[in-house]
Amino acid sequence: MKRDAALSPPPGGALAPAARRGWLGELCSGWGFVERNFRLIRRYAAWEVAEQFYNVVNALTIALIGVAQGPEVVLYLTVGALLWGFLSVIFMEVATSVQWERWEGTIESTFMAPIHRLTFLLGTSAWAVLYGLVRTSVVLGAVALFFRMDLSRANLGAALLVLVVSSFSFIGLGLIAAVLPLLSPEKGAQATHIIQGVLLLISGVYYEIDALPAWLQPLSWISPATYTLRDVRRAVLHGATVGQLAPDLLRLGLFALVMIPLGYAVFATAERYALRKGLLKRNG
Amino acid sequence: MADGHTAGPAIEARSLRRVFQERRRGRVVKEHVALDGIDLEVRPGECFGLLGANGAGKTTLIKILCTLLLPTSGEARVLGMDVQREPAAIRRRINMVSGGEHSGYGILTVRESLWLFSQLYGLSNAEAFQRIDRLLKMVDLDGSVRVNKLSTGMRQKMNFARGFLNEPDVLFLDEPTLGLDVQTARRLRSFVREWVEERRKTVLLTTHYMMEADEICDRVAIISGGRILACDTPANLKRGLRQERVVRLELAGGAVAEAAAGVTRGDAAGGAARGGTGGAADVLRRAVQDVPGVRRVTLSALDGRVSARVHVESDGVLVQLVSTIAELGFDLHGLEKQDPTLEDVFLALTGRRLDDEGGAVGR
Repeated sequence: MKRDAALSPPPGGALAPAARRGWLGELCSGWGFVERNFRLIRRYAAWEVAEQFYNVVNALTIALIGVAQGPEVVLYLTVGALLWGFLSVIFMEVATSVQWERWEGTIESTFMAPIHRLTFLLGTSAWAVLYGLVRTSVVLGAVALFFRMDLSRANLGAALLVLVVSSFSFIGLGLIAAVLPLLSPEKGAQATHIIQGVLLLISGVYYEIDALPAWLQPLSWISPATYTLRDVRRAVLHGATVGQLAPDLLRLGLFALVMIPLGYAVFATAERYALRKGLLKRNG
Repeated sequence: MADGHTAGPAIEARSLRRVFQERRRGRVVKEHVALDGIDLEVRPGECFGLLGANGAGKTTLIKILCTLLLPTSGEARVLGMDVQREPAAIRRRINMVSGGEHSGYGILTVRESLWLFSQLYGLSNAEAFQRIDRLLKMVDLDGSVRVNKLSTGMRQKMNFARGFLNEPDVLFLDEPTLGLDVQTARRLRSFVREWVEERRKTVLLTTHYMMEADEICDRVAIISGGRILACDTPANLKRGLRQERVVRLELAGGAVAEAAAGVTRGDAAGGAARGGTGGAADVLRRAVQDVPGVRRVTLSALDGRVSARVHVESDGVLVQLVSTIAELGFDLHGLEKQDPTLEDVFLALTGRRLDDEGGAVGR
């Protein structure tokens, strides 16, 4: 058999020394997911622009409902639209991460790769937070220009802090929801949409929790979005300080502290179940 | 043994069993035994082939060894590490290429997709791009094409490149040349063979192309119904059939056109394992099968002609065989003695052809 340079096996042995392992390797692999998603979005640029246009218009139409009641209501509704957009992006990006791997046909390659499962999940989560921030900032800018909003009383630093802390709680929720497409290739993705719908209903996105029927109100206590919305509104509308927001910030922090490890534990258990049942396979 | 530096087998399976259950309303309504007590040892530096028809259990076995599926019972080890207890350590040292796999981010280019996979293996950018370029050259694939624009064969080339990205110690190739043109398939086979020899890497290849197994595998196991029926070098497996004579008869004249059509329809292509339909092909097969000393017969048709591959106990059977064919009104256009192939081994062990369940006979 004639030898061809192109046919020669590539140089180097197994992984070392070319491969980075340990925490640096995991970090780079995690960043790989961020970069992967960025490249995917960049390729779908036209779709992204169209979606952003829709998000801006959606936020505007919601805010316009409050024009007759005055600027405070407009701001109240705007905060709801912005925050819901942000938290939805985080939740759905994390929750559908497994489903996307199935659709792209990469689930076996990704789950067979020598990375910690936490790297996959946190890489996806990091992307979700960054993506959510960028999208929300664009909508915020457009809405602020449209309504010439007066944010002079707002404590934007405190609002941002609430946003950051609540991101972690939503990542935890997303991790638990991500289990559903792992367990049920057919129905898992639908179930995550139902969870998202329930969160929208109970968290007081566009109305006060009091507007909910009494039997539904206790459910709002277990949604981190309830506290996020309440605190960001207090910071933006009334200029509440971090000290004043501390009780809810603590609640959100506790949510994150419980939900992320819990989400990971549930995911690990579900992965073991999927391995036992032979569910780690691509769709289509 | 957790470090994987073992002098023992590169791959080992002991009484490995995998049962898939179909449940309805919490009750098991159907069970499918995909692996039924597999015992297997693959040595380091060996290219080992698993030859079997579709549904024989090849992919299930590979998925267990790749830590993507848990066995129902039994034990499997890769590089001395247990697939159930040490999956993370195994994943650092293995990779897999699946035939017909639609793996890759459709909207990205091949090069971008491969780069993303390289990140999962912790490769630095410089090393990753160097390897990707070499591998793309090896598989003769343009890295700037988007994955969703690739043909089946091109996609398979990309999968192949992905499998070598991390220079695995053990590579699992599950029908790796599925959908590839003959020239590329041959090129990749020679690459695998060279890679195994030069690097002392281990390859477990599943295929239903016997030529592929014959060409690159040091040893071959024949698997059917989740069981390994035989395991040896291709030469030894074929040698086991040497007490038989294999003759190929080219038939023409008489009812050959009708028989050829029947073979094409599948009336008798399955040979001894299939029930007849009463057509000319089936009459021919039954008549040949009934000649004393004939062990098996398979018919094939090409361009309106019929070819019969007949396994006989001795040369003495040929006289009666030729006379039977003449009595049926066929002209004997040619008679050739042949060496047994792996497909003959498969047929002898399983009673059916390798393509009986939809696979290809060979390339």
